[in-house]
Amino acid sequence: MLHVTARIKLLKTEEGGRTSCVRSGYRPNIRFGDLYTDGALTFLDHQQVYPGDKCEVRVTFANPDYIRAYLRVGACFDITEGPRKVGEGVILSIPENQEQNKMASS
Amino acid sequence: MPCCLRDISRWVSGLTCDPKLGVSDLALQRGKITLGGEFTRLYRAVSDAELEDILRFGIRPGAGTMETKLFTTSAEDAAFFAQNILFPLDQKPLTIVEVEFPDSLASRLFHFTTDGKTTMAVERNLLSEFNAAAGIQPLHFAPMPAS
Repeated sequence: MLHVTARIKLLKTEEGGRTSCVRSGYRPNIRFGDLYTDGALTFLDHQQVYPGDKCEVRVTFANPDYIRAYLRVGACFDITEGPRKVGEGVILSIPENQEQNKMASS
Repeated sequence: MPCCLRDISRWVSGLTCDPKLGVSDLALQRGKITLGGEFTRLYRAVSDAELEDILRFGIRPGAGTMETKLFTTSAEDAAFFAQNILFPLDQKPLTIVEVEFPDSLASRLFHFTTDGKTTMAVERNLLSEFNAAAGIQPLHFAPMPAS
């Protein structure tokens, strides 16, 4: 698993976003380019986030190798629920020790 | 880490092998998405809490969770997500449910690739129709995850 911190924004409902808030632990699809993966969002300063809100999150990737090529600070991603884009985000930091541990184990 | 479904199956009665099922029955239950037939089968790995909710109310979004519900096209792919995504994140037992519904509805679902596996999305506005048409049952065996 790999944890990164990111800043996200959920689209407003009228922009095609969700109709309701999401809770910390939300598991949307994360899309980098054409690749979709599963990610778990832990909100760092909220318990729940509403459509239109911005916040910082910890994103946990259980299968980071699938999107490894995209994992760098500044990389942008979409938050989707299947085909529907419900938000977007940008990676703020990737703790180095995780990357070192990952490389050491691979 | 005990992360494969064989380990998980010890904790959930719904995943223990049913000795009444023969090999041919298993093969039928493990059928991939049916094209050109009457019914389509899809699969989803769920927690105990979601399984209980599904059996009572059908498939529906939980509060603060995804409004779109995602399924795999084979039990083996559902096992892949259980083993590689869901269990590592939650460390909780999982059950694979099989959902069977008419092909006419399947043609309206969006399919895409997530983590290398074909995934079908049932959007919120289709869920009531989906539940009305679908037969849902937990699998009584634990498939080996797709690699």
